[in-house]
Amino acid sequence: MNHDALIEELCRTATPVRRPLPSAARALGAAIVSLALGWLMVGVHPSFANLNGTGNALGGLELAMTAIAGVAALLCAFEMSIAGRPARGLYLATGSFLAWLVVSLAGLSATGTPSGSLGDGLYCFRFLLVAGAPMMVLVVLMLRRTRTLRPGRTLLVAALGVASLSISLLACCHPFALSRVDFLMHTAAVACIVLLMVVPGRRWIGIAPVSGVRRSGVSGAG
Amino acid sequence: MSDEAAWPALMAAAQGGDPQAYRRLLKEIIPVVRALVRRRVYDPALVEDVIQDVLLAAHRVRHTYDPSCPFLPWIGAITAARSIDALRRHGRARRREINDDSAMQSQPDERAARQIDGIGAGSELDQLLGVLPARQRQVVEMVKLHEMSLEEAAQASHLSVSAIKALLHRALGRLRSQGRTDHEP
Repeated sequence: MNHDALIEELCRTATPVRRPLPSAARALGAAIVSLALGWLMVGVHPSFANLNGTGNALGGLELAMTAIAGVAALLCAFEMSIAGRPARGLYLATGSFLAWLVVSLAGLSATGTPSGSLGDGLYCFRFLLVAGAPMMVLVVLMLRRTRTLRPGRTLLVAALGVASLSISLLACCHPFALSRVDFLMHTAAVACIVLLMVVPGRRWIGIAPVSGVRRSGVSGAG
Repeated sequence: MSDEAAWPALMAAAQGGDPQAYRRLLKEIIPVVRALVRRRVYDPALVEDVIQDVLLAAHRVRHTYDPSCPFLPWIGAITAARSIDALRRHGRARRREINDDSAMQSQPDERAARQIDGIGAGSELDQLLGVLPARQRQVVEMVKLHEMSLEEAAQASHLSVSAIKALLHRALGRLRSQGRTDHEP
């Protein structure tokens, strides 16, 4: 079968391209800008003025774990978006995320009111979504630069990275002790961030058809 | 320097906008891509479709290739992903369609055949067949217009009889749906 016509079309539209930066630099840059944007969002939002952290060691550990998980997950997502690259950073991201989970569960036992009351975590839920919103947009735009063969998987990892970074911002100004309802709302916010990124983002970062190029007529299976 | 060893340099030149290097690279990788696709896809017509998908996808993300890395893992990953996507699409279509070859031959769709036979003017025929991809059109012309048998058509187009039947089935389906669209008020 002859594919010369398509090759000629592709050569005709092959303008010079600029290669993306290395994934590690992109992940670090994305994390720094994301944290700054998230902080700005919750800073200008009037309803997030009264969160105060206790500043104990476990709270600091929670912050460190989520920040490491966030950067590692973003590195993994950027690597996954490039064909033929291994998912570098996946183990570090998973390990740090699990460590955060363990630290959070430790926080559950440190609270005086284990169950909490309904509506306890709404404040944190809103915080995580407001801080995460600009991060989601930024990371999807960065993934759109490289596109990916597997949009669903890549976005899932990237969304966990964004959620981790949002939690690390929350950890800066949230008491370490958690009630169950509070923890449940944190988890619900993570699920929302994943859904909000994966469902609409799939269309944005998949490999779209090349504008101006038509497949030559071999489409037998069509 | 073997051809394969030159691919990273050719791709680097292509990223810089060199059409000669790009043309040479794309032509050289087609046999490799075809071999990789055939590991997963057995339908010859679908193999050629997937090759075109791979070329288009590689073109779309050509900026992501790093010339300091080997070329084969990059194009191999694109090929694997595109083959699996094609098999999924094909599988979904097959679940919805019933492909009964004996029923097709014993009960030909006379309405579709009449539609083709009834078109006298060549321009109308061209217009009608123009909605088909080139390969499907070629098969319809061979079997329906030149009255070649399925075996003769298969031999002439270097495809299997089952691939010819599948192409013909899809072509007639497309013509039928096109006819319905054309005659809607």
